[in-house]
Amino acid sequence: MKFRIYRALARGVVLESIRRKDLWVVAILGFLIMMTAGVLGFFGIQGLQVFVKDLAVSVLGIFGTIVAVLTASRMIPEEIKQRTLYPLLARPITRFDLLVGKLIGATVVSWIAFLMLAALTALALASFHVGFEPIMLQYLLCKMLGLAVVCALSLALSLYMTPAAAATMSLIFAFGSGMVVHALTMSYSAASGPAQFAIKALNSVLPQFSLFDLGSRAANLHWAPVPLWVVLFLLGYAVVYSAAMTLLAWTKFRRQAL
Amino acid sequence: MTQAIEVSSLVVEYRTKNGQRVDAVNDLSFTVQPGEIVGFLGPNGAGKSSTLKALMGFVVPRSGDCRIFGLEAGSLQAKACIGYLPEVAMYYPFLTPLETMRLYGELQGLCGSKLIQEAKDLLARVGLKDAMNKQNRTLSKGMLQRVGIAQSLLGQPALLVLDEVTSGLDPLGRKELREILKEKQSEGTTLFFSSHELSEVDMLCDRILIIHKGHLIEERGMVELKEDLRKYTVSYVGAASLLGLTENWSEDEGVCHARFTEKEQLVQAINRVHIAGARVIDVVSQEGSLEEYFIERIGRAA
Amino acid sequence: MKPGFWCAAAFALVGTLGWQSVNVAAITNPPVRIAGLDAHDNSASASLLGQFRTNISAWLWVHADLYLHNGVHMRPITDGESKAGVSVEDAAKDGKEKLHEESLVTVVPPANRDFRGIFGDVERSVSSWQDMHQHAHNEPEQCLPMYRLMTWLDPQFIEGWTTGAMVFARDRSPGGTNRSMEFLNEGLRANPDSVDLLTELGYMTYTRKKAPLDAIPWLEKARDLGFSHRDTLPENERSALENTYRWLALCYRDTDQPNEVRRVTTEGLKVFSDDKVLDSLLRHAGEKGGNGATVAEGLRTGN
Repeated sequence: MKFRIYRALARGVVLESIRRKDLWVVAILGFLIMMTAGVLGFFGIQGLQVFVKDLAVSVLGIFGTIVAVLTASRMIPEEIKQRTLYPLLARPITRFDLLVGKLIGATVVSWIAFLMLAALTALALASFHVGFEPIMLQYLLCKMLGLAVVCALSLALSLYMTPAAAATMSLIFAFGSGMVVHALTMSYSAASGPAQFAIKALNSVLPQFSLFDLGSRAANLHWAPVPLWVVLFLLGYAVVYSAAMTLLAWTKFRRQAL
Repeated sequence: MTQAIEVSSLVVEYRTKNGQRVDAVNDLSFTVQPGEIVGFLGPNGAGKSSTLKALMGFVVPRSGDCRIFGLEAGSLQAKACIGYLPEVAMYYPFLTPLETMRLYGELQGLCGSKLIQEAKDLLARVGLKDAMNKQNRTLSKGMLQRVGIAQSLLGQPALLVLDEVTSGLDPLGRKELREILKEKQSEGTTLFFSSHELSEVDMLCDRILIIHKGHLIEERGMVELKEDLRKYTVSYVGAASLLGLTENWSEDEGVCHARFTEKEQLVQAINRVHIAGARVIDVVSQEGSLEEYFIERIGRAA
Repeated sequence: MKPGFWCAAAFALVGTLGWQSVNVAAITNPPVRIAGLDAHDNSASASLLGQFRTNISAWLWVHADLYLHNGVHMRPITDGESKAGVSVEDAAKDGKEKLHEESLVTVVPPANRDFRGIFGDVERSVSSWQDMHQHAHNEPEQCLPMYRLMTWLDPQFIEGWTTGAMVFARDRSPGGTNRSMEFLNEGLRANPDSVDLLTELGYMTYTRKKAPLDAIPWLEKARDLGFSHRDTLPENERSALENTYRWLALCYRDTDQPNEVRRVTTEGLKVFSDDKVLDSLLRHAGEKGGNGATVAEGLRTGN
């Protein structure tokens, strides 16, 4: 029964997003950016390979994250504003079910946009005679897990602040968490005992989006695919973190007057 | 017997932007029997929507109790018994009415071809047979309201809670809606609805509740109320003394007109006219204006 | 007195100071400016755009470094790490060290310096990380798109032109040399008064095309520009000027013009008195006639 509820809610989200044509705009934009790399073609194929792969993973990462954030951060606030929430919650479903269903929908929309862009990117790479290597598949899979976490974070934040603020914060986390974590590792050895404890605590709480990004391995030369245990760890981390964010969202949403 | 709706000492509170607490509903108590059609009336801001939201579990009351067929309002079991029509009909703009119905039906536990058939039947019943595959954003306000009515009937709920049910409907639509609701009542469905269209209330309801500034100010059966509001006029020619029966008396070109609010007084007046040898020309029984009654009642409560 | 008055007074004071500083010669600015660059002084939007272009080209410069390290992010070692005895990830002597600095460690730390446990292990697995001690570098040709982009975005970024040209020139065929010189010429059109670019063109003409006579006009122009602005040249232009004198002297030597060799080396030693190459060339020019050795000695001792 729960599965049917989540599926119904997710299907509604996906249909709406596809028919809005937002995803197509993102895909076309990303493809155009990739094709502009063609103007550098006079350098010869040898020099361009790393560059176009680097551009490809950058475009995929940036646009995929933006779609995920914008989709998830507007989801519940728009439902409340447009009053489409009432007929939903009038049904025998809990508010938690609603959050989970909407989160699944936002995640699926992000994945569809990401895979669409990946398909167009693969075409662009093929036009530069750059092959699609196995590690790129791993990159896609791990990035999709990361997008699920981004959606969960954006959804949770959207219940505590305005959609614009939630989107901004989510983008900051998504693109900045790597820098913060590296700064923490850099400062750990010189920090005092309490500061080291605080650094460890912060590191465990911060969303580690950089862990889901295999882009630099995929773009550069001769990097081996990551071991299976890493992918399984990322899957587990994504599930646990998304669940935590959903619970955080539910804490605010469950008693919110509509 | 378990009441369809039981509200006792309900208090619903909101916080304003500057942090002040405002009681939208204050110590409200009423019941609705199974199978009744009850109209819930009140001016703008009286607390009608807040009461309905409390019944649906959209807001958590500060205090008091709401029960739907003995179940806690807002619980899954309670919601399973209710078909709800929100005040402003908004549905996903890029879904079609059929997809909308399918979505809500699946959330209700319905599925498969049975759900699709029921959705199609309901949409046809509300006059949307030709529009069921058009996106909601292309439909007019009245058509969206019909979608809303259809979705509230999904799964044959035991209780219909309808907020501004006739909003956006043309006269034909309202007539069709009345027929649907009467049909539902004959099937044993309880109806609880708010409306500003007093004519609809007049035609449909068994009972009305009037709320003002969060308080219940009137609770009347419609039959009794109509009887109270009815006015009688007897027109006669000749001399007859109606002293003590009415002071609402006028003469126009030799014809006397006497007006009464009680049937007893009318009967006594007719007798006196006959005894006096005068001739009764006309006896008129006129239904009272619910609108005037409503306005007067609100004015008294203010 | 109201705050508004003090703010106005502060602005007036700063404005007065600024007005007075208009005629102060900037020490670090290049000696000449391209006319279009003056727009930055008068237009806020042009200045912002210029800043954006400069920042992006700087980012591309760093990104080129990333390509050379096959995607491994490196950073300068901190004082604390240095004191703690953390060793830098020295590059192998593979001839590419000049392309970038090497006092670097990996951004993602190795396991023995990482407090994050399994998170660190995962990051080392998913990112392009490896032990970079004695690492080698990727072929710099992969950085060509970076140099192309950074010079498009910021045509005044001289190092972008010269480094890109150097990478082109790794292809020692005539095609590679021609592409390198086309690139330098394009840079020169955007920066007609760049000593570095003029010197690189002269160098390429002399060493690859084996045409010292054709190289001399480039080098003479560079020399003339550099010498007349010798006191205000930025670091990289000054370093290029030193090379200008050397290559010019060699060109004159190979075309059997000892007087010109003496002229050029004498002038060069006035600017770079410790330059041993110029000193040696002047001495050799002196052996062929004239008092080259005496002039060299005099320049060194200041007599």
